[in-house]
Formats: sequence, structure tokens, C-alpha cells
Amino acid sequence: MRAGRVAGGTGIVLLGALAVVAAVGPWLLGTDGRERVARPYAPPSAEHWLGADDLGRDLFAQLVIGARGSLGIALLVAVAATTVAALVGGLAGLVPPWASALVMRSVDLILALPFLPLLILAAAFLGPSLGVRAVVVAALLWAGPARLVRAGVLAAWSRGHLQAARAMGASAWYLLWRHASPVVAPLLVPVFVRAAMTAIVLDASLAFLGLGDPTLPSWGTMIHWASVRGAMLTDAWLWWALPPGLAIVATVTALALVGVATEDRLNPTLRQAR
Amino acid sequence: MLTVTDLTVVYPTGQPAARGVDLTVAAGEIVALAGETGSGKSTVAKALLGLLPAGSTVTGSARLDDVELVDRTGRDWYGIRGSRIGIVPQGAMTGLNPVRRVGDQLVEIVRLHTGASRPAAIARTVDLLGRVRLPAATAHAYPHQLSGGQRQRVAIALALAGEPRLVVADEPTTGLDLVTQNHLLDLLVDLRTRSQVGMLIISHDLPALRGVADRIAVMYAGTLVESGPATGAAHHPYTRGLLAATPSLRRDVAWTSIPGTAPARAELTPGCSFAARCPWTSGTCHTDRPSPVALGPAVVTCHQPSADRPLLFPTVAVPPAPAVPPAQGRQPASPDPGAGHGGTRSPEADHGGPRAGSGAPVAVLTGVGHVYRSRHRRTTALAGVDLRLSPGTILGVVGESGSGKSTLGQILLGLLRPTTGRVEVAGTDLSPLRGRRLRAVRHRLGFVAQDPYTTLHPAMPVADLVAEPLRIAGVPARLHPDRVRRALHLAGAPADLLDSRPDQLSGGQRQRVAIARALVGEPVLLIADEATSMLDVSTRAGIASTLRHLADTIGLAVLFITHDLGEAVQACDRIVVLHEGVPVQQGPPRDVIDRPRPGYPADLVAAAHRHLGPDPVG
Repeated sequence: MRAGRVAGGTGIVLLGALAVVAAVGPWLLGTDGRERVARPYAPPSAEHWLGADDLGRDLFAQLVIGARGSLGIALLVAVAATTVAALVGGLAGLVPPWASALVMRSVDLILALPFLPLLILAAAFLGPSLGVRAVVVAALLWAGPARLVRAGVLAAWSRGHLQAARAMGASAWYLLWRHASPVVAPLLVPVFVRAAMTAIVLDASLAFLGLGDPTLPSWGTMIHWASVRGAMLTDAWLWWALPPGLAIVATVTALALVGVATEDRLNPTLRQAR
Repeated sequence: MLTVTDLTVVYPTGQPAARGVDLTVAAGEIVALAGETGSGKSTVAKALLGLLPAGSTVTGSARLDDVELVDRTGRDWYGIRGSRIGIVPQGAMTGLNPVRRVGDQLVEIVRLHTGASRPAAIARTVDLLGRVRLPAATAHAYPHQLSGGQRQRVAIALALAGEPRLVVADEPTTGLDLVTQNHLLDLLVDLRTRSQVGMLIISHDLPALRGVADRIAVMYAGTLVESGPATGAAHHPYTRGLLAATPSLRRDVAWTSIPGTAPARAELTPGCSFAARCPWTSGTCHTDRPSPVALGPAVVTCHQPSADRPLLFPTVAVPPAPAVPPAQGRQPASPDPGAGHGGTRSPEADHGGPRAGSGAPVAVLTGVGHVYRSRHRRTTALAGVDLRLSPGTILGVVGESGSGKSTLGQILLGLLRPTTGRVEVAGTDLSPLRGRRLRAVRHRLGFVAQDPYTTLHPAMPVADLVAEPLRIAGVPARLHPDRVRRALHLAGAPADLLDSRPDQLSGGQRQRVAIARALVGEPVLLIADEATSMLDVSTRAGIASTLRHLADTIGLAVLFITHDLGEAVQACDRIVVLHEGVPVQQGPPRDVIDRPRPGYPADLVAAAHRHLGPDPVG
């Protein structure tokens, strides 16, 4: 319990710091990360903390601006995937068995799809804009959580107080709103966190493969250019590829810590076990 | 053989769970340790077996022959647990390994304790099964193929596998139907007589134990309040209250409740822990802790023990039958002023007299049947039920689990559509109704569920909980507070509960809140589905007397679903006995008890008589 709280606190502090950097960082920079401000392949210096890329663009500025893209897509995808999961899963827990079976089989179908190849195809054909990528990732991520939500609704259904309300003549909407949602809503927190996490990793993978938006700096794109422009052959990878990699790791770790901590708090059996 | 002296257990949380317990069990003796939830009876058993949670402190002594049981850890228990002390743990019938044959599980334990070769162990297993009166073929069965009673026998055989000197059985009959319970208790007596093992049976069911045990020890709030021969008279007010709280099959024997609730744990009060609920308290009870006093063969921890002083606990108002004098030693049924439910009922009501017939029936069931259908089989839950519920009367539905009695409640609420028959509630035929109009019927019914711990939303305060039916029925919010207060009053719940949340209430209080919630919509019919079965014995009669009061004062019709025949006899005007979904007998309680139909009703009445044991002397 103690350790869980420390982990959760660390995660929240880390996420908060990243969010602040993403929100205000770009305003404090003297450049938008797309213009030439230094000698190409410049090593780190007092003026350019992480040096410059092959076009003489400031890498530190790209790192700060990239936080926006990564956190932005995480937020978009998490909101979309959680909403869809809650709606579809909730509905599947309420409708008659045959309709529920229909929904759950389509969920199985989506779960069976190979994620990355499909994403690559979608990114290649639909274009690299932020919105499109978010929609595609979210469309793949809602399926697993929808199952979880459905199970939660079914479990809530057998609760004594919900059955009592049913015996009082409550309608399905009343039951869902007053009795089932307080049981199911806490399930959505870890769902949200996990979706955000997966979104960042998937998006970075796409960008690394060169399918990111080339006009906007992002962590994935930075690693992509570092590898394409030969930074990996020299010492340049230390200030070109490593910082965005570490940033991705830090963000995902922070989200994972928050996710585990919330899950611990919400799951009474886990709470007892620790 | 087993001698426990001054045993005190403190849980890791710092809460004392048992204090200064003295207990002996001789070879070939059955000692029953009785008490309600939280009395510390299971704690004592766990202390004897070294099964307390880590970090608990045990002081005092418990010696089995020449072996000290207190202060043993881990490996010290080898050669004692299972071989000197056999254990029938609580819920043992559900604790068997579901994926292994019964015989294999027995062989494993036999070999563990005796180190016998496999063939020898198999022979011994057959012998063990014979001792618990199971056919040898049972060894090839998986636990799910056996009935609850058979599985409990297997659990007893497992406890006997190491040839123990002492068997400790924690609630061995709980959850089984009456007939099976009696068979199991007979088996325990028989085992004791034949193999001279000592037995410590832990149970909340004091009356049933009086029939089988040699001596009885009663615990309350962590202390032993009384111990003595099972056939002797009870002297402690709590023991006597507990006996009187068990509904008798005779309506002239009063059914009482003990007011208040037991402290959750053995709190360190300066005086007697029972003083707050005791009808005989005097000054010293609140200030001085009583010490055990020997009264003949019995030992009583009370300042003023008495076997014949009237108890003056609230009783369920049942008219004393004029022809029969009150039972010896039990006080006559007198409406207790403290309970406030002094309503009496005309004796004619017993026979469906004027009031039962007066007014239009609130619910009529004609030829109702229900069949559950799954992919592979059809299960008949109900068949040919004809019922008529009238205002001001309480109709009891009695049956064991699986008899269809809860299905009946669901059908009346319109939550389940019967496969055959016609249900009419408040003059409306339910069968053509759907959706909103069906739900509107439920606004006129009240439902009290079995489990007061899950039926109340844990996050809602009492005021909101009770008002919920009004919110659902769309009653304007300004009318809620008044009606909530009135409902709480009718249900016998104190009005200062309004802001509490369910986890701050005792089981009895929760059930009263649930009853208030069922009453707030001013229903014509209240359906109480096993509303008392999860409550402590000492508080059940209180709930029943509240229902009686409601029937008498506001003319409520009540469907009282229960598995306890005695409770139905005491609480109801008419009884329907359900067996495998079929109403096998219907009539006033006295007819059912005195002239049960041959077959199931006769067996049930006989088992209930047997279960209640000899007429209580307390």
C-alpha cells in the first residue's frame, strides 16, 4: 500500500512535469524547431543544448515541441477509446443476449487484427495528420476495454442494491445511472491510462517507420531522422536519438505507475493482498 | 482430555476477541460452543488449532492430554493438527478439491498422517467412509456429484483420518436443510460413542445442540457466559434469551428478541458485557465484571443468575391460546411495553377469520407455474400454485433452498413471467403488462431481500436509501422527508439514522432500513424473502414483530418467505409448504403442525421438532 502510493505519486509528478513542458515549453523557445539556427550536425553547446540535426535545426526545441504531439495524441486516443469502450461495453451488458453476443463477436474480430501492420496501412493510405492517426489508433484500442466494461456491468447487475431497485420498479436507465455506473466508472480509470500508454508507443512506432507527420516535430520522427541521417553511426545518437527515446520511456513509465496505483486503490482484493 | 484455562486472544489489530475462556472436553464427550456472530467462538477454535492470523497474541493455556497447544508455531504443529486434533473447518463441504476424486483426497490424508502404504491407505479409506455411513463407492465420486450432506460426511471422514483424540467442528450443519442436519448430528453422536473421541462443536444454533451435546458452553462478546450440562436449566439471561429467541413450533410458547445489538468485539467495558441488553441489570452489572459462579454442575458468569426469573424481553405478539397454560419456565407471551408493538390479534385470524377475509385480496395467484429452460434441461421451479393474499394477514411460504419460494416472490413482483397461470396484483392482471406499466405495479409492492449487507447501496445515506422508491415512482421531492420519517418509524428504526451510511449500521438496523424502504411507497403488499435469515438469532423476532404490527395497524398484506418452519408458525396467519415447486400443504400454522400431510410436510414437521430439541427449560 505504502509502496503503491509512492509509485502513484511519482507517476503523477512526472506526468505533471511533462504536461507543463508540453503546454508552456514551446512559448519559451526562440525557435519553432523547423528553421535552421545552427550548423548541421552541431554537437551540444551552451546555445543549443542538444545540438542540431542534419538541417541545422535545434534538437532541444524539437524535443520540447514533440512532447505536445505525443501527449496530445495520448489524450485524444485515451478519451476516444474510453468513451467508445464505455458505450459499447455498457450497452452490451444491457441488451438481450443475442445482441450482446453480436457485439462481443465483433470485439473479438477487432482483437484478432494484427495492430501494427494495420496501422501502417492506414497511415500510408489515410495520411499522417494527427487527427487521422488518433482515430485509427482509438478504433483499434477500444475493443479490449469494452469487454472489461461489459463484465463490470454484468457484475453490477447481480448486486443486491440493483436488484432491490429493480424490485421497486426502476427503469433500465435509472439502474444504469444510479446503480451500475458507480460500480463501472472506476474501471474506466485504468482503461484510460492504458489507452494513453499504448497510443504513445504505437504513434512513436509509426513515426519511427517514417509514417509520422514530417512537418511537425515529434519524438518518433526525431528517432526516425536520426537513424535515416546516419546519426547512429557517430556519437550524434547520444543527443539526437537517445533523448526522445528516454522521453517516451519516461512518459510511458509515469502512465504505468499511475495506472497500477489507481488499480490498486480500486480493487479491494488487491488492496488486501498488499 | 482438553483443558483450556484463561485463554485470551488478541488480534493483530489490538482487538481482544476472546477473554479468559475456561473449557474442558473429556474423551467421548461432545461439548458445544455456542454464540452469535462475533462472540469469539470461532476464535477459540482457531486458537486451539493454531490457525489465528499471524501477529495475534494468545495467552493462557490449552492442554490436550500432556501437550500444550498455546505458543506453537509452524512446524511445532506437525503431529498435532490432523493426527491429535481432527478439524472439520467451516464451509468444509464447499472446501473439497473439486477436480480430485473423494477417495484420492482421503488416501492422501491417510498416508500423510499414518505413512501407510497405498493399498493399506485405500483399505483404511473404505473403512473411514463406512464410519461416516457412506457407501464405499463414494470414493470414486467427485465432490460435485455428492449432496451437501454427503460432502460434509466426507469432510468428517477427512478429520477422522489421523485417528484424532479430539475433533473440532466449526459450524458443521450450517447451510444444510433440516433433515440432513439431524442426520449429521446423529452421525457425530454415533462416532463419539463408538470411538470415544472428544468433540468440540462450534455453532450458532444453540437449541439444535442441546439435543446432541453433553455439555454446552455459551459465549457472548468474547467471554464465556455459561457452561453446563446440556440437559440442565439455563441460568444466564443471555442463554435464556437465546433459547427464547428460537421460534418454537407451539404458538403458546413466546418468541422473543433481545433488544440492542451485541458489541462487535470483546470491548473492555468495566462491567458485564451483556449489561446493556440485560433485563435484570442492577448497579453492580455496569461497574463490576462478574466472575464465574458454580451453580450445581453449571458455571455461570453473572451477578444474578436465575433459571426462573421472568426475562421480560420483547415478544412477538401472538395471542396466548386460552386452553393451554403457558409453558413451564418460559414467560407467558406478554406484549412488551418497551417494544412498542403490543398489537394483539384476534384468535380467529388463525383460521382465516373475519379480517383475513375482509377487503378485496391484494394479490391472487391461480395455477402459477414456472419452468427454467437452459440449453440442455428444463427445471420446474414452481407448479400449480394457488394463493390469495389479503390485507392485514401474513402468509408464510416455507420450503428448503430450491423449493421455488424465491421464484414465487419474483413472479409476484413481475420480475419473472410465469410460464403458466395468472397473477393478479391489486386487481391488475400482470400478464399483458410490459415496460412502464409493469414497473408501475411494482411501485405498489414492497420488497425486502435476504441480505441486508448487499441490498443497501453502500454509498447512500439512509435518508436517500429510504427515499429511493419515491424517486423512482416520481413522487415530488418535497414530500420525501415526511414520508421517509414515517416509514422509518413504522419499520421500528430510530429516526436519527437518517444521515448514517449502511456500514455504520448493524445487520438488524440495516434490515429495518430495508423494511422502511419497502414501506415508503405505501405498498399494499410486502414481500419479505428470507428477511431474517442473515440476522443474528437474538434480533429475528424483532423483525417479525414489526411485520405483525404493520399487518395489524395499517392492514398490510405480507408474504413471508422463510426456510424456518418455527418462524413461519410464530409470524404467520397462514402457511404454504413448498416442496420442489409444488405447494404440498396450505393452512393455518396449527393445522400444519398438528396435522401435517404425509410425505414432505410430515418429514419437515418431525425434523423441526427434533431440531428444536427437548422443550427448553430456560
